[in-house]
Amino acid sequence: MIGRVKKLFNTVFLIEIGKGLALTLRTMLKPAVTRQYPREKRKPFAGSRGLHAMRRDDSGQKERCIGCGLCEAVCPADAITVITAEGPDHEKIVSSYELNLLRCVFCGFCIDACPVSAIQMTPEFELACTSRKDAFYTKERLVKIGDKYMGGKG
Amino acid sequence: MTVMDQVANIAYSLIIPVAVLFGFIMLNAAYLSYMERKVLAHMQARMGPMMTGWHGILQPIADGVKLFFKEDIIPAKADKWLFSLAPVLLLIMSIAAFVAIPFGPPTDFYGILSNKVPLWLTNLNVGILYVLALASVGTYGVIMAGWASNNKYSLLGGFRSAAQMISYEIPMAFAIITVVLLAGSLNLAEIVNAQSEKWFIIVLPVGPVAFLLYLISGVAETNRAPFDLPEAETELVAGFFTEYTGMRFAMFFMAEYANMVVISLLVSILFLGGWMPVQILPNTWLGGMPPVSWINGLFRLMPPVLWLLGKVYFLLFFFIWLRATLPRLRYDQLMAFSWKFLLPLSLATLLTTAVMKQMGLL
Repeated sequence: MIGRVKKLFNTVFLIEIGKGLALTLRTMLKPAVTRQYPREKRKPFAGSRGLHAMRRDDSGQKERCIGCGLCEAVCPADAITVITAEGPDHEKIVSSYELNLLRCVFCGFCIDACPVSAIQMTPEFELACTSRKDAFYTKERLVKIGDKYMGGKG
Repeated sequence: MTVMDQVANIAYSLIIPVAVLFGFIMLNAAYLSYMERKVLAHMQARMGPMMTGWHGILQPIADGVKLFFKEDIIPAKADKWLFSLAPVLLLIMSIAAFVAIPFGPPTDFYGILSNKVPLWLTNLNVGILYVLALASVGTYGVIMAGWASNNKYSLLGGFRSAAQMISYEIPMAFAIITVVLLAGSLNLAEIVNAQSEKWFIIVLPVGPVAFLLYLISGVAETNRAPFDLPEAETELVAGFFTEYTGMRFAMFFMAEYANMVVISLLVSILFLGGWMPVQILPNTWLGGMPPVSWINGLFRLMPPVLWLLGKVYFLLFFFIWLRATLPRLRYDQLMAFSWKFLLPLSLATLLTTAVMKQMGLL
């Protein structure tokens, strides 16, 4: 009986609607959670998986990649192509290392697979490009990104 | 009277008031969209437009320019005449309603003008009837838009809108008749003057009920949330104006916002004392005593027009507030609510008012 009276009271005086209105008004007085993205950027979290980078070897002259092809093998999206050749001193050189960002899923398996930690991930996430060509990251471009994030050292 | 005098007279009594009123409507139609986006955003912990000007203050202008330069598409199988007529009709009907609405008592703007001028274009004896009639004609615009688009979704949207608008016009009309009974006049200025002692919203027992009835019907009449089924952005595309683009589309929006202003003005005039200042206690009851009378006197210093506009903007804020809060009704709930609940309640209110008036209780 009390419950029914209470329910009638709530219905007649629109109590529930009043509660809802109070909630929206309270939210309005709180600060917005929006980040004004292009103008204010969030600091990336540690370990965030962004664009790849290639480290230099100990001499600092060339890339650290030894051309083992493990990253190519582990890549679930077939985004990496490694082509190796024989160098002037009969050593193995990486003639082409190509990362196709149109296929990459940023899983980070290539980083785990690399035996010499040659390929790394940077927090760079603004990867929009205006041509298809720009989405292919060659060895040279990857080394340049590595220089930017790791200061050109091995 | 020379020709120059006549020209000055026409400018003074017709052109300037019309220009001011038209400017007011257009500014409102543009900036209400900004207000709506901002208030709605903040109620959802967002920010709304921020990029155009200070806190996005120029957004309506950017939107206007964008819509103006958009391609004007008329569907191949559409009825071209009706298709172009519908938005114009709807907009004209909502703008025409402003003509009969008084914004304040005659004033000389604190001595700037030599004689007092009225703050309305026409003071119709049947003002409220005129506004109600225009609202009904606006429904034709909705049906026309739905029919002329030659799109079954537009047509269904148009039917739904029309059915809703007609259903909610009835309780709305009865709530208005209640006020007319209380005031003893159909003239809007006289309805306001009848509330100088006591606003109709606090005339117990019928005032608050009639106020709520009118407010609910008003929200439904302007097709706004929680009664925004014709539009239902999350479910339908846009209801009856699905096929419209560019300026024609903008006209529907302007008409909607102009209608919101009309409804807010009417709620203020009919129930919230129009341009009468707030009295924290009525003059007849404790209101004459010092601390209360000082505050009442202070309130009376503010120009009446600002009181009216303050109430109007509070109501407009309230409409947006409702939209941010309440979920949309189902269509059968919408119809049942009008015919099975609002209509009997409005009839009962009207009857009670009439009986009490006859017995001299009000």
